[in-house]
Amino acid sequence: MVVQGIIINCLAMLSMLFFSYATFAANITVNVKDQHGQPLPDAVIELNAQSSDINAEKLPKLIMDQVDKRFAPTLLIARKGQQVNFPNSDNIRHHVYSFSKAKPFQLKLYSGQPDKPIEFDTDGVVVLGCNIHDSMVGYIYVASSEHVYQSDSNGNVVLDDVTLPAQLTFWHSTQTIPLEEKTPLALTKDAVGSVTVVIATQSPKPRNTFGNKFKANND
Amino acid sequence: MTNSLKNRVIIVCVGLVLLTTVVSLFSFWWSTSQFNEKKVTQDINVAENVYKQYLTAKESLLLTAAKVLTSDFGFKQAVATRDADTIGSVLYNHSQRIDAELMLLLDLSGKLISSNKPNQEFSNDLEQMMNELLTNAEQSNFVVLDNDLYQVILLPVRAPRTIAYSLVGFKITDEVATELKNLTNMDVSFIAEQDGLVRSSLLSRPSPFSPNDYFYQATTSRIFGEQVIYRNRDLHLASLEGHSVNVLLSADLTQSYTEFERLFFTIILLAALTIMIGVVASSLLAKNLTMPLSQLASLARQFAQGNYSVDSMSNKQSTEIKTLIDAFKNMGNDINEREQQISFAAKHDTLTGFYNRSAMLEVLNESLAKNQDYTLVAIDIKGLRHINDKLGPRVGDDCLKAVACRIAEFSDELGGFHARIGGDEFLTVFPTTSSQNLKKGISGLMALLETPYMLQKLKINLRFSAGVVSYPDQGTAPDDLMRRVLIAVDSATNEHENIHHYREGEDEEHLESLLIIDELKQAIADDDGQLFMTYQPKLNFATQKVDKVESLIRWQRKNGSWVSPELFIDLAEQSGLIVELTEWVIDTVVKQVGQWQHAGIFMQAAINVSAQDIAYPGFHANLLKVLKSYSVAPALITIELTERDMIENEEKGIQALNKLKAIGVKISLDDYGVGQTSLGRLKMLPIDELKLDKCFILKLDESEKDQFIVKSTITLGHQLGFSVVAEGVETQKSLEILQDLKCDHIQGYYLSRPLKADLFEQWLEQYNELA
Repeated sequence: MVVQGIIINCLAMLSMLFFSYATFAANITVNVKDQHGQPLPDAVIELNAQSSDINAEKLPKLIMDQVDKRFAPTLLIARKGQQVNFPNSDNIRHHVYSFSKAKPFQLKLYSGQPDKPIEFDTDGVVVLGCNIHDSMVGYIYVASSEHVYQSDSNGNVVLDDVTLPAQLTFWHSTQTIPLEEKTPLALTKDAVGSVTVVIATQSPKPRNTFGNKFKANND
Repeated sequence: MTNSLKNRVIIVCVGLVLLTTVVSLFSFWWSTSQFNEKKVTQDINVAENVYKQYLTAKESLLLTAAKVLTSDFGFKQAVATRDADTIGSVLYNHSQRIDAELMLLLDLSGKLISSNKPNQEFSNDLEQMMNELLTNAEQSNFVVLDNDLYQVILLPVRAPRTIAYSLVGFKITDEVATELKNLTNMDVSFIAEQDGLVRSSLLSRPSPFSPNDYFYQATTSRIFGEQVIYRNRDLHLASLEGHSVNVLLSADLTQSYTEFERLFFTIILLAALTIMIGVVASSLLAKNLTMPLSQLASLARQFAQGNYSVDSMSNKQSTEIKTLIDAFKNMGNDINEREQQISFAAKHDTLTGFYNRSAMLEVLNESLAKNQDYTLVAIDIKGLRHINDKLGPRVGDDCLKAVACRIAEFSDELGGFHARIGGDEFLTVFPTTSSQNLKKGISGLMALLETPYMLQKLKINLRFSAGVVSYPDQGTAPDDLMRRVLIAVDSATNEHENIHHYREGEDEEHLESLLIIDELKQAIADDDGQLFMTYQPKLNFATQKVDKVESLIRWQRKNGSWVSPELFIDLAEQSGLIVELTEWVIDTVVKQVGQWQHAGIFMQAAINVSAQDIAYPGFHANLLKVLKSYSVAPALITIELTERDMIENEEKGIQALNKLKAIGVKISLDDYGVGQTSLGRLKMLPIDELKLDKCFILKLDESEKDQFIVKSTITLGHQLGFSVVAEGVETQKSLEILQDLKCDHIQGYYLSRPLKADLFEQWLEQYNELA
């Protein structure tokens, strides 16, 4: 698989000429699309990941609920060191586990609230699964930066008062590059207005008919 | 016999049976072939289905096994740890559980992480293989790995996202193929063409073994020639690109060939039996049908041989045949009746009921074989023609019947038999008991016959001639007897006898006469000098010159012997040959007269003709034609007729003579004085000349009586206006007497004997010189 390139469109080159060196903070709207030009929701954009320092203790406990044999939300963004609770809202038991390097753990068959929350102290992507319900997949994005955003249903993220130049990283659960990797993007101080970012995703493959019945299990 | 009805019936029946057999054999052959074809196809279809089921089952087993493996949490955990040894042991463990020979774990890029067998290395490009398998996810594929064929399935290991791939596979070995063969009863061959790998259920293989060649080309030698052993179906298996794997299902046809042949021979045997039965049955049928026909045929042959008695034939016949037999019987009876009628009519005279001549010959042949003397009497009714002419043929027929009746009465009494052998001739034959009885018998018979007859209120007297021949003294063969008795009766008639007993030699005379007639006929036709004319001069006293000749015919046969003119002329008259003979004479004489005329010799020639000649209608015309053709004046020709010839058929004769006289031909009455010519008749005859018979002239010089007769006859002739000729003058004295008596011409040896033309000319010259 070829990793898709990221293209930035500077829509207001004129204004950039006028306002250059005039300001270093700007409101920038990032528009995330897939390689087909469709808006891509639930993409994670992290700003200046390395530079930020997070005080985890002040952060609230997050909840990764399990409703109707689904993780809710599917994508949960956590700060490094933040604790996450895994309440089970279903009336059946779940066996939540992760083999991800960032946080391997197991919550063996339980119902209701587990004894204690789990702290995600390493940044990275944690893939959650349920041992007895193979269809359940959830993601916990453990960010090292304070400035981390999730694209809305239109694929848009609004970055307020971004100090330019800035380093951005992009991630999406269906990206074609390995799941642990994030795509970097450098915003120069001239950047202004809106930026469009394209993430190559694993769109559902054109399958042979035989595979259709296994659709649910396919990536 | 090939054309006989029987054979035809048999041929038709056997032909029908044969046709039926051949048609059924063909339809059997066709339908069996079709059935076999269908069966084989069906078998292959079944085999294909079985095989698919088998593979699907295997696949599903594989899938299940692989899924169980990849879903196992411990396994997932182990994979997540990436601890190769652990993973290897897990794989081994699982492969043992499900009997899978192949179990590999590949990472997402297709690199081998671990396998169920430690330290296993593969020469294949696993990454590429994995990528291809991924496009056929959850479906088994056939791949060749390190010279082994596997049915494999690739499944992702999810935790919960795919972290690795697990490749599970069953090895396809010859045993697997054999197992499939046991299920389907067909040879199964897995062929990886590009990889050069074959797994087959065929145990005894040729070397090198290529299933595609072998199964498609193997033949077996059967009754109907070389036949392919296998019917094949080639199926493509799910496999990698460039590494196709096919399965070849090969149905062995040997069994079906054997069954087909057995059936075929059974049918042939049945057909042969049917034909045999057909032959026998149709033979019986044909025999039934043709037996009465051949019986009828032999009956017809029997009829042909004249045997009309019909044996009773079998009553078991069909009505048609019975009708035919009845018709045959009736035909036989009718033919018999008619044959008897015909045969009676053929043998008998219809008027009298007597045997006819040819039947009489048979009767003689049959009846005269005993040691018994017989008398044969041929009876001729004299003057029956007159009765027919004057009283009508009915009276004539009644006369014949009455005569026949009396003959029958006579011969029946003597135990003889009788026949009508001619128009007015009968033959009666009776045993000769004694010589005096014979005489009495014949004269008695004649007396009986000559008793007057009362017919149609007429009293008729008939007169008869009879010829008698004795058997066996005067002949034994019926032909001879018949001929001799006829000769005898002819002799009786000719010689005016009442009864003529056949004399030895008459038959030979008769035969000689026949021979002479035959030769004469030939001599006239050939005109080769056997017959020739002589001329005897007549002296005219008035002129003292020879101015007339009498032409006389002579015959010297080829063998040199002379035949007397009286004999052969008589025979010619009897046989009717006289007309031709006279024509020849006229031609010869007129021609001679013509020649003399040319030579300056004017000579009247007399020609002797008979009553038959005069009566012959062509005589006059022929004479005219000849005279004309030789330019001879009719006055130079004199026709000489005897008194007897003049009298016969007088009226017609006088008419003809008058016609001759009218054209200038002279008429002379020959042999005058010895016949029956009355003076009254003499007055009426249209003659120019009287010729005194030589009996008055020969001794004229010695006999005074002859002189008186001659003198008065000459005077009478002269007074009636005739000239008078005397023939037979042999002495000077006679000549002188005749001259004194004023006879006109003389003829005789004193002057000259008859001479051939050239001699006569010489004689005439000398005579004229002397005078």
